[in-house]
Amino acid sequence: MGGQKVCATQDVPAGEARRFGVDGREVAVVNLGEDGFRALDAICSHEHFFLDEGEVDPDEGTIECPKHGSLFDLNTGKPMGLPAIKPVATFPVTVTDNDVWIEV
Amino acid sequence: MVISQEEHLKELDKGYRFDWKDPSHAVFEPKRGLSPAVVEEISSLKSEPDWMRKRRLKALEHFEARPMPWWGADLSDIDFENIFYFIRSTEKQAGNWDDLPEDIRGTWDKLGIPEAEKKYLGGVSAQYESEVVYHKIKKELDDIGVLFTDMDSALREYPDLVKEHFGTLIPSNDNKFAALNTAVWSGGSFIYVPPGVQVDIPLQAYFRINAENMGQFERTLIIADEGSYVHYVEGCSAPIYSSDSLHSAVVEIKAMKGARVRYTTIQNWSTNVYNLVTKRAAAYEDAVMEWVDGNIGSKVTMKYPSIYLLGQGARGEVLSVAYAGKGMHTDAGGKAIHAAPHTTSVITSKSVSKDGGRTGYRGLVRVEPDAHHAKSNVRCDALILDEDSRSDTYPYIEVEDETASLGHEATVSKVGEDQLFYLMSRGLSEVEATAMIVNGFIEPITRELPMEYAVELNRLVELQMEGSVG
Amino acid sequence: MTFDRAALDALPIAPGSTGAIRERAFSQFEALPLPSQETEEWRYTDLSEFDLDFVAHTPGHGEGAPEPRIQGLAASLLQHNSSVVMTTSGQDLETKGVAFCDLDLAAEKYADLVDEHLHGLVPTDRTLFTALHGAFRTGGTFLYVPPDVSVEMPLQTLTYLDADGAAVFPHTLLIADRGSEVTFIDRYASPDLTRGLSDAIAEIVVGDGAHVRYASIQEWGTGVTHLGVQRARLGRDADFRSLAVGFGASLARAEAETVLAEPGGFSEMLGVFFADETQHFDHRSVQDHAAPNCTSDLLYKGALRDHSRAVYSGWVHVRPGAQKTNAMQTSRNMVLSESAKADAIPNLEIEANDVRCGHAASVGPVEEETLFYLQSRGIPRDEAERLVVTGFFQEVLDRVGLEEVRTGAELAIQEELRKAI
Repeated sequence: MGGQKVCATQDVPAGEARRFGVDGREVAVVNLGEDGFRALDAICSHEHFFLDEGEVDPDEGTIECPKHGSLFDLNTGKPMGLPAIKPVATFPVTVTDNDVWIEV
Repeated sequence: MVISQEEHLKELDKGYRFDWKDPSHAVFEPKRGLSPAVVEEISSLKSEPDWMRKRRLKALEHFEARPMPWWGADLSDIDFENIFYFIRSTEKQAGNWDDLPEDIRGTWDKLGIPEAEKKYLGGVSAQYESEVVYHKIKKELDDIGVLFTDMDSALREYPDLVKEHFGTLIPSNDNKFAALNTAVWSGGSFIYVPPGVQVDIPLQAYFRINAENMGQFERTLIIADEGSYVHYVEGCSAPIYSSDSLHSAVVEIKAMKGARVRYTTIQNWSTNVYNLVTKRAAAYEDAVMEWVDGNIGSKVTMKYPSIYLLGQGARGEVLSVAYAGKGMHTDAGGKAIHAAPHTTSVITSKSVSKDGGRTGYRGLVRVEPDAHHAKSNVRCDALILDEDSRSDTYPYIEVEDETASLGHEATVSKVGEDQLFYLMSRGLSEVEATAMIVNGFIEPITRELPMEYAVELNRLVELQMEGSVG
Repeated sequence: MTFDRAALDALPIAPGSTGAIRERAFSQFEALPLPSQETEEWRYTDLSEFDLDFVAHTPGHGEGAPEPRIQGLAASLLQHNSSVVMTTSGQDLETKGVAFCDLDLAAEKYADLVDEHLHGLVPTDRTLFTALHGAFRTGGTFLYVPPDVSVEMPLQTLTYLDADGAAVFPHTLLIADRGSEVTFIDRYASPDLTRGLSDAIAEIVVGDGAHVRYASIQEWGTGVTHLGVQRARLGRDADFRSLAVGFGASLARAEAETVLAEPGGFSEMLGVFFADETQHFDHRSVQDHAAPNCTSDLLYKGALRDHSRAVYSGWVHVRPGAQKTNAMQTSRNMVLSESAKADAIPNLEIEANDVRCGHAASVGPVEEETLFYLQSRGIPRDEAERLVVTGFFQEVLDRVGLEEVRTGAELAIQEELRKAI
């Protein structure tokens, strides 16, 4: 198991995202319920807004930037449409017992 | 473009040429105001798939949550509760002009659409209130796989294509009015041009508002596949009423590798229409995207067609002409986002304000990191014809790559007295001379228009110059 | 937070009417928010994480300050940290009735003028930082030139900061009465510091027919955050020429505004800046034409290197009735390295029709051909780059009328380029 412990599983309700500071980076941890957890840069690659404040779609595996609506693929970090152009970084997540670990 | 002076003079006293009203043909009693029930009803009337219904409802939430824009024009008088969000005027779409009710047919005749169709168009889409009432594409184009339908039909006939692209350039939460459009969209055009196909005669859509307090929310999606070409032309008009209507469109365009798309607009809404439109295009490798955007009418226009240059060697061009007369505020412009190497953009804007009107150019040229060797040139010129009128220029230039080369120039001036004096000494009246100078000023735009539209634009200028003495 | 009531009460007594300004500004400071990037004015400068923890008042003694670069100053003033420590003034200035002294001294000695003009052009409630300035300023420069008096040689104030973690509040109140003529230089300097805050204001009143030349040379060391507002008001047929030279500070935000308030005014605003390493410059200008028959011309040139970022945004505003306005605004940026960023936003808001207004902006790379040519002639790359930047700035410097000012600016540029490249 690599990385560091960021939060407990119950800190992020299913279908939602929360933001944590990890090594000076703002990281969004997303709980996809049965599909497990994902972690990605919390700051949108388009303008400086927090993705964790946007809506998670567990069926499509996406998160929506709350400012201009760009959708990001939670597995790859790639934007699925404009106005964002660049991907956001994603990080490997492991869950042990009730803890969420992230490699940044 | 030369038009006979006699022809001009005849037009000079007529004012806005499109001010006639047909009696209501609403298929059912329209309701004012916006609510989830209204959105559900639109979706259900169109028998839409569930994903679209959900998309609409979510967009309504976005619309309600987002504040009104704090910048740009004054939108505080828009009464969203007083607007009709959906009016169906015919039971079914016609493929023959004669199948339309007589008044509606008369409107299209007066606008000259059937005649234009015969002469020089590859296809026509005629939207009346919320829906396209007439639609036809030339058989030759149909045969080679060009898809041109109204957006409602496209969702039924090409559901996968629509689902794949709808809202990928302009998400519903992009801005308040994109959200509104996504919630209540109806009509608009869907175009797909197969790889390598050159559509060498324009496809046209015309948007007509007839009812007072109408809200028209067309939705257009154009996909030009690799190496193809298409020119899409849109026009619009409405009768003059004492209270306001709202037109809020969303237009998404994808020019795939090596494709070229030209999108021409002659916007001539009556001066009680708020025209709040989001237009965005993506240009991939070596593609060319051109917006030719003429804004002559409306009470308020806020529209900044943008081009995302996403592939190496992509090119973008925006030609914008804006006019604002009495009580009008035309805030137009263009955006070019350079996101790939060796991309180029050119933005040319010409605006004329008169009788207390206010024009604005608002633009953005942005070069993303690593989009090396981007080149962009922006030129904005404004003419202010009297001391009550106003012109604003708000260009944003953002550069994150050191090999980029960007230039921006703007001028604001009045009609030159020397020029006026010269023309008048040759026997022209002051009105004629002013019109001629203004026509010369916007010539870089009119020369890019199809002939018929150039004539129309010049005629409009002549009309608007009436009484501009002083 | 070190800008609290206790720190306020610990300041030297505010003389004359400045006590009331101090109190009012302090309550404004307590009520105002940190400027937000959500507003157009602060869009390009992020202060959301800015820690307003500075030593509010640091008395100075005057030692260690750099020597003037140019000879022949008519008078000079040295502010060290929070204190004005020295004023030299030629005899003839006094006989001509020119007043040049510590602003706090002037608040008593020239109370009428100070009461009328202090914070007249830059009100304390403009932003959190102008309020902070109004509350915690001590020292500053007062310059008054009586009607029809000409001062031929320049006057200069050097504000020198060398206390780590300190805040300084440079303030220049320059009043050129009708028909007078004067040249003034504000120079800001410090060694590299861990942190420092320069919260500066210059208010310049150019009377009817007066001619004022104003230069600011900003060469703060690394670590300093410089937030400056300069605003000039021009009377009838007044002539105002300003030059802004900006090299220093880690973050520098400089606003320069000219109000052409009466007919016949002429304003020239020149600027050169050079940014390197991780410097962030946010230059803003306003040419406000409120009266007819005025001319304004602005030319800013900037060169950027390393990871620096520079934003230029400018407004030409022609108000209703300001006919026969002639206004021009030009911003040119040269980008010398891959990771430098330049933004330009030249705005026009024109509400009169008989005008000639324009703007031009460009952002472009350094011409490799020129560098290559110079190198082929045996000039090392660094020297070639310095020559290209010097040449780029020359267009601006050639327009600086007074030789002393031009020479001072040229020397400052050479010093900076030798350090940076």
